[in-house]
Amino acid sequence: MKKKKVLSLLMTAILTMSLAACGGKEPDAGSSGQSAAGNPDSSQAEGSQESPGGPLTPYDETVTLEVALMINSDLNYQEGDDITNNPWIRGYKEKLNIEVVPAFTAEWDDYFTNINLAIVDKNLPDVCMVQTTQLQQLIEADMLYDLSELYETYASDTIKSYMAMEPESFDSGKSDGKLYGIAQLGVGPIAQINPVWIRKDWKDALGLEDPKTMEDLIAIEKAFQQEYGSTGIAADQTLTTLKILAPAWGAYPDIWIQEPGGQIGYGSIQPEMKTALGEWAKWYQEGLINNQFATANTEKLNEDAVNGKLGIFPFKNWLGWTAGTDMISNLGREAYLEAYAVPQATSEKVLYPLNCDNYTYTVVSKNCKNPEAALKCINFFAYMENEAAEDGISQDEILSYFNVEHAAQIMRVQDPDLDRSTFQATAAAIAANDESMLETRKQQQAYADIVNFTNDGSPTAVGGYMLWGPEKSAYSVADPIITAGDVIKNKVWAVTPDVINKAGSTLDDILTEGFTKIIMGEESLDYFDTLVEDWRTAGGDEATQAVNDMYGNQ
Amino acid sequence: MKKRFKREWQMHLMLLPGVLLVLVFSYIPLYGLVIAFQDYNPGRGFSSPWVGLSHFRYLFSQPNFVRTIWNSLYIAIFKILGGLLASVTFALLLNEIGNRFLKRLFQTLIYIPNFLSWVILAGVMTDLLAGDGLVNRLLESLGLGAVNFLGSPAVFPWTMILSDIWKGFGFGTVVYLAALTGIDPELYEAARIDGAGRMSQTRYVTLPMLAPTVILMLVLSLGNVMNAGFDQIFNLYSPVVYRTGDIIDTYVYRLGIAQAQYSVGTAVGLFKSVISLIMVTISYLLADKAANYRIF
Amino acid sequence: MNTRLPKTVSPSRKAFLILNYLLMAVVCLSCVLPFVHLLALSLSSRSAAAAGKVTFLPVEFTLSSYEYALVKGDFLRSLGNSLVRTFLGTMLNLVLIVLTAYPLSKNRNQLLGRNLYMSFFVFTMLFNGGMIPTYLVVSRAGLKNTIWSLILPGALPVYNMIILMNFIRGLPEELQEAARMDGATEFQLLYKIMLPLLKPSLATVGLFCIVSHWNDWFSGIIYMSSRDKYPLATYLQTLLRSFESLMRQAGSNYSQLLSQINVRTGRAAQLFLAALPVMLIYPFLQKYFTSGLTLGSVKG
Repeated sequence: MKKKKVLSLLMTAILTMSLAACGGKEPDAGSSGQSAAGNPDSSQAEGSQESPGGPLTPYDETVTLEVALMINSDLNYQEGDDITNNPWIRGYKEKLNIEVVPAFTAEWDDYFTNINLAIVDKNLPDVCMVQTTQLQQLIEADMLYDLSELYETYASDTIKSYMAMEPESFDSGKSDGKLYGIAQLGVGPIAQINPVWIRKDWKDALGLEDPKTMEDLIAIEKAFQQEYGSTGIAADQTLTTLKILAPAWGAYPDIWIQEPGGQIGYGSIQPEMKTALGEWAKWYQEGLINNQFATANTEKLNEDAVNGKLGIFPFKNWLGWTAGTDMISNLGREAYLEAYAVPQATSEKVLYPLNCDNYTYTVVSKNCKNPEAALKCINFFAYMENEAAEDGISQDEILSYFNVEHAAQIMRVQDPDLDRSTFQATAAAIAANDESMLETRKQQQAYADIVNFTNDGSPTAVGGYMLWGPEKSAYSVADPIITAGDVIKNKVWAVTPDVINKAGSTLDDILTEGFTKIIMGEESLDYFDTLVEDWRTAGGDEATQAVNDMYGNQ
Repeated sequence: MKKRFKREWQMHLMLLPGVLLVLVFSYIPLYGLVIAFQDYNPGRGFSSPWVGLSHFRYLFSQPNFVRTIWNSLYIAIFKILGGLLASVTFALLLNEIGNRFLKRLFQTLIYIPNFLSWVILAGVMTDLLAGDGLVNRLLESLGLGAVNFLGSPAVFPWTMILSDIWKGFGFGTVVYLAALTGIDPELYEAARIDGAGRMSQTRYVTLPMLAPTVILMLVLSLGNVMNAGFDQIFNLYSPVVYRTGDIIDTYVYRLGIAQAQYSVGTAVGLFKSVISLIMVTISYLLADKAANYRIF
Repeated sequence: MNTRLPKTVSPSRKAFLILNYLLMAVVCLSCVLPFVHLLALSLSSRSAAAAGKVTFLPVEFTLSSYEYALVKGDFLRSLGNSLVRTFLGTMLNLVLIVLTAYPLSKNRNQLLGRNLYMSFFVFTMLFNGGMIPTYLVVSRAGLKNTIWSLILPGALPVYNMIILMNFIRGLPEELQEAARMDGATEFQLLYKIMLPLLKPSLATVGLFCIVSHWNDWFSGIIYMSSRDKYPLATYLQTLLRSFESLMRQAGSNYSQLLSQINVRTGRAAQLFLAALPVMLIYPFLQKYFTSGLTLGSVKG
C-alpha cells in the first residue's frame, strides 16, 4: 500500500514535469521522435513532420489511427455513445489529438476470427489486439512494427513499472530481442488463487470449525450430507473443481513443473497425481462427490448449489456473481459461500499453481504511419487510472471513462497489482469505517458492494462481497498466499511450443477421460500408469521434449 | 453439332449464371485445399512450406482419431436410416388423417424442432435426461430402471441418434408428404378395382411411387455421412463418453482449430470429402443399377 | 384423399384411426413442449431459471431477457438487414435454381454436356476450399461490407436445385413437347408452362432457402466489419457470445455484469426473437406445398 502510494506520487511528479517540458518547447522533441520511428517509410508519412513529443504530448496536427475495436455488448454506454464514439475515443482526440477510426468492430471470439482473416488478407489495421499464436504468426510473416525503440522513448513510466512487475510476460512480446507486442497483462496473480467455497449458513448452524486438513473438509461434507442432504463435493466433467484441491497432495495437474531430476515434466502425470486420484476414487465410492459428476457442467453445479444440494464448491473467485447471487435470492441472505484456502492433505505446505494470465498483445502494423500514437493511447489509459485524479480531473469525468472501461480494451495495459492493492485499500477502509480513504473507482465499487451486502443482503452485491470482502472472501484468502509466495509457476509462460498447440486439448483429453474412469472405479488406480504411457505415445513425450528445449535451464 | 447448338443454346444460356457463380465462389476457393499439404502460416499465405502428407500421417498416428471415424460413420448412418424411416412412416400416417385442419396443424408442429438450435436444445436435454430428470422419473414410475442417457458410453450414441431423428424428421415428412399428395388418385382407384385393401394399396401403389423421392433424399444425405452432427454432440458429450461419442468434428475441434490450426483442419475436411464422394458415388450407382433411377 | 374414404368405416379402420390420432398427438406434443419450456424460460427471472424451477410456465415473470436484446439498440436495424438479405437472397436462389434445374432435367441427348454440367455442380456439394480462400475471393471481389457478400457465395444451393430438378423430371414430357410444337422458345416454355406448374415445389424449396438465409450467422461475422450491418442471427449470436466470453475471462473487471444476466434465459429469448419470423411464414408456405408437390402429379 505504502509502496504503491510512493510510486504513484513519483510518477505523478515525473509526468507533470514531462508534460510541462513538452508544453514549453515542442520543436526538439520532434527530432527525437523521428529518429525513434526508425522506419524510412514513416519519414514521408503524414504526421511525422510534427512533434510526437513525450508519453502524453498531444500532436499538433491530428493523427489518424485505424484500430480494430472490440465490442462488448454488455457495456452500458451513455445515450448516443457506442464503441466508435465514447469517452475514450473522444479522450484520445481531445487530450492527444489522435483520431481513432475503426478498422472493424467485433465481439471477443469473432474479433480474433476477423484478425485471422486480416492476417490472411495481409490487411492488418494500424493497431489491434492479438492472441499469442497470432503474434507468432505475424512476427514470422514480418507484418509488425518493431516497437523496441519507440517503447523506450514513449512508454510512460507507469507502463514501464507495470511491465517491471511481470518481466516474463513483457518478454513474451519479444522475438530475437525485438519488441513486437505489448503484453496486456492480466489483473495479477491474486486473481488466480482458487479457493474452496463452503456454505456459510450450514457451517455456522452445525458449529463446525474452519477446515485445516483434508480430513476436516471431509468431516464437514459428511455433516452437510447428514443434516442437509448435500449430494457431494462439487465435481464436474472437466474435473476443474477437483483439480483445485490437487495441490493438497502436491499434485499440479495441467501445468509444467520442475521434476526432482531437474527436467521439466507435466504435472498431470506425476506420481502425486496418482495419489490424489486414489483419494478421489475413495470419495466417489463413499458418495462424497456427486455420482453424476461425469456429465455435469458448471451450469449444473450452479443449479445444484442454488437448489441447496451443494455445500463445498472449489471454484474461481467470481463464483459470487453466478451461483452466489442466485443462492441469496432463492435460499436466503445467509446462504452464501465463504472462501477457505485449500486444506492440507500431507505435512507439506500447499502451493498454488500460477499461469501466465496475459493472453493478448497490442500490436502495431508495419505500415502504420504513427506507431508511437498507439503507445500514447496506452499511456493515456494508465494515466486516467492512476494520475488523472491528482491532476485535478474530476471524479465524475474519470468515472465516465471507467464506466465503459472495456471500450479501451485494445490499447490498454492493466496494472497487474490492481486487484491486490484494491483489496488492501478497501479492507483498510472497511476496518476504519472511513469511506474517504478510498482512492479509485474500483475501490469505491468494492466498498459499496461490501457495505450493501452487509447491511441489506442485496443479491447483486454478494458477488462483490464474496470477492473483496474483508474476511473469508476470495481475496482475503489469496492475499496472504501471494504475500508468502506460496505459489508454483507454470514453466510454460505465454509462448507454448508448436507441438502442444497442434495437439490442442487432445493430449489432456486422454488423461481426463482416464481420470474419470479411475474416479468412478471403472478402472483400478494402476490404470494411471497405462494412461501415462498412452499420453506419452500420443505426443506427450514430444511435448515434454519441446518444453524442455524451450524453457529448460532457465 | 451446329444444328444441335441452334436448338439448345438457350438452355446453355440458362446455365451460364449458375456456372459462373459456382466457378467463382466454389471452384476458385478450392485452391485453398493446398494448405492441407503445407505447413500453413496465414501471414505467408499459400506460399507456406510444403510438407506433403505429414498432416494426414499426424492425424492417423493419433491413437484416438481412428475411433472417431468409426463413431462418426456409425452415428451418421443410423441417423440417416432412422430419419428416413421416421419421416416416411410419419408421412404415411399423416396422410391418413382426414381432418384437413388437424393434418395441417400436425404438419406445422412436427416442423418446430427444426427451428431449435442444438445449443439451446442441449440445455433442455441435459435437464430432461439427467439422473433425476423428468424422463428418468417417468421410467422409474413405470417400473423400468433409470437410464444414464448422457453418461453411459453404451447409451450415449443412441441418445444422439434418437434425439437427432426427433429433431429432423419434420423436414423429411414435409418432403414425403408432398410427394404423397402428388400421387395420381387414379392409381388408387385402379388398385381398388383390382380388389386391393388399404395395406396392399400402400404396398403396391404408395411405396413404389414414393421410391424415387426416398432414393433422392437418401443419396443426398449420404453426402453428409462424415458429418455426424458437431453442434449436437459438442454440446452434449463429456469425457466419460469419448470412447463411443467422440466424432471427427469434435475431435478436430479439440485439436485446436480455435488456435488457427488451418492445415490440420483442411486435411480433415479433405479426408471427409473424399469419403463422402465415395459413398455418394456408390449409392448413386446402386440406385441406378437396382432401381434404374438416376437422381443426378 | 377424403374422396377415397368409404362411407362406412370398418372397426379395424376405426381403431387404426384412433391410434393414429393419438400417436400424432403424442409426437406433436413432444415437439411442442420443449418449445413451450423455452418460452417459459425466456420469461422467467434469472434466479428461478438458475434453480431449475421453470417447466412450462414462467416463474417470477419478467421481460428482462428480451429487454436485454431489444433495448440494446441495433435490434431493429439487424431485423431490417435480415429481411432484406432473406428476401433478396431467396429470390436470387430461386431464380438460379429454376434456371439451372430446368436444363439439367433434360437427358444428355437433349442437352449437350448435360452430365458434365451435373458433375460440375455435384462436386461442390462434397468439396469446398474452406473459410479462408472463400473469404479472400469475396474480399478481392470488393464485396465485403455489402449485402452481396451474404448472398452471392451461396447463390446457387445445389442441394435444393437437385430436389427441384427431380420434381421437374416427374412432370409429363408431353406438356413441353406440345409447347415446342407450337414454336415456343425454351425461355418461353420455362416461363409460361413450367413456372406455374412448379409453384408448389418452389414454395418448398423457397422455405429451405428462407430458413438457411435467416439462420446463417457466420458469414455476417466474417464479411461485415461493423455491427450495424449484421443480420439478426449474427447480432443475437454476438449478444450471447459476449456473455459467454465474459464467463471465460471473468475477473473482477466483468463481475458486475455477470449478476445481471443468465445465459439460459438469454438464449431462450434469443431463440424466440430469431425464430419467430420464420415460424410465422411457415404456415403460409405450407398452404402451397400441401396442395401438391409435383412428382408426377399433373395430368395432361
